[in-house]
Amino acid sequence: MTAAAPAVGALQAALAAEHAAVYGYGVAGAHLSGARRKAAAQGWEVHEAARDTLAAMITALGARPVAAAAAYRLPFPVHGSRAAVMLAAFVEDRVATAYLGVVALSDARLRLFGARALESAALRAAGWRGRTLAFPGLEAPAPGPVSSGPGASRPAPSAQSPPPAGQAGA
Amino acid sequence: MPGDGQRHGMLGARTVGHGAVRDRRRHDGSGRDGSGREDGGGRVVREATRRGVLATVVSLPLVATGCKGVGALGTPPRPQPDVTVVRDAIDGETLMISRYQAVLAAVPSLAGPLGPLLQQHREHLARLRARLIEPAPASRPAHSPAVAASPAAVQAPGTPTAARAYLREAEQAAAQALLGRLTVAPPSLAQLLASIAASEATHALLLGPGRRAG
Repeated sequence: MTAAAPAVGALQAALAAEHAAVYGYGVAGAHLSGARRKAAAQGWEVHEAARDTLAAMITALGARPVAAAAAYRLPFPVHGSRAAVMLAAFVEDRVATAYLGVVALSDARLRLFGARALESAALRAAGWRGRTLAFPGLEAPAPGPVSSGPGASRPAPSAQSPPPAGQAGA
Repeated sequence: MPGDGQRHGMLGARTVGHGAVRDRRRHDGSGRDGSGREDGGGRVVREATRRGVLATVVSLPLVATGCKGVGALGTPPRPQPDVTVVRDAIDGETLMISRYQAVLAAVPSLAGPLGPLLQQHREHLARLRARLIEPAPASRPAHSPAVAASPAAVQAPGTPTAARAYLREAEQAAAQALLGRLTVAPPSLAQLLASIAASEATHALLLGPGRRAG
């Protein structure tokens, strides 16, 4: 099916971002405690589920899902909780951007799937950051540990952001 | 486009026809300046010519349009689907801005937390407007938003808690409305709509109970 080629490319990019998010949450969670550690664990699970969903969708399209890298270069040093929170927000921004590629596909179901996954990532990013962005996925703030914000003191949301796995259905 | 070619063909035929009429009348006018007999003869010539011109005017457009009908010229072009989508999204953002303004007028103490969210709605609106090349107001087809989008027309609750709940519901509905238009938009517009919808969903999150907006 020739129409599947753009879909495979966009889904592979989203899968690569999910692999990186799983890694990033693993790093972030190690520097967090209490409610924020729990939120990081939830984020980690959400991205693992999304990764599996995307891999299944790509396989169903006749392609081979991209593998995770053995390690990822962090966008900034992560030695404490503040940087860990910003790392979590950063990986969500990256995931949001990757799903915008899925939104651009012509297939209506994939487009909505991408939009919902983008929304979930934006919700988690806003939870970590404590503030919202005007254009999640389209315009990401510069990476790096930022000035103190309410996000550093509040746990990330788990409500209102159903994991993409829930809507996928490949 | 074949349609354009046909329209040009029609317009060209008419122009020639009218031009022919005008030229003949000028000629008749100069003849009338002479004797009375010439005047009478001129009238005969003019009528004969008018028939010919009428025949030309009537037949040429039909040939040029392939008998499509004369009414084709008068039909205004219908807006493209993505133009309609952008206009609807612009109306939605305008309404959201009105709601925030109405809330801020009723509950000024919310200015701190709501300010950044209102500013992001203004950014949404600006980005959407940049997508739309508006025709001149006179030629633009009538397009009225479903709800009048002026602060005076919006009734906002008077307490902070109720106001936040009101805006939260409005944000959720706005995000849903954008997602509903996603599949009829071209790819890059769909990306913008999805991003704005995600932004509005995050607004709703921060407006929710137990969270501080802004």
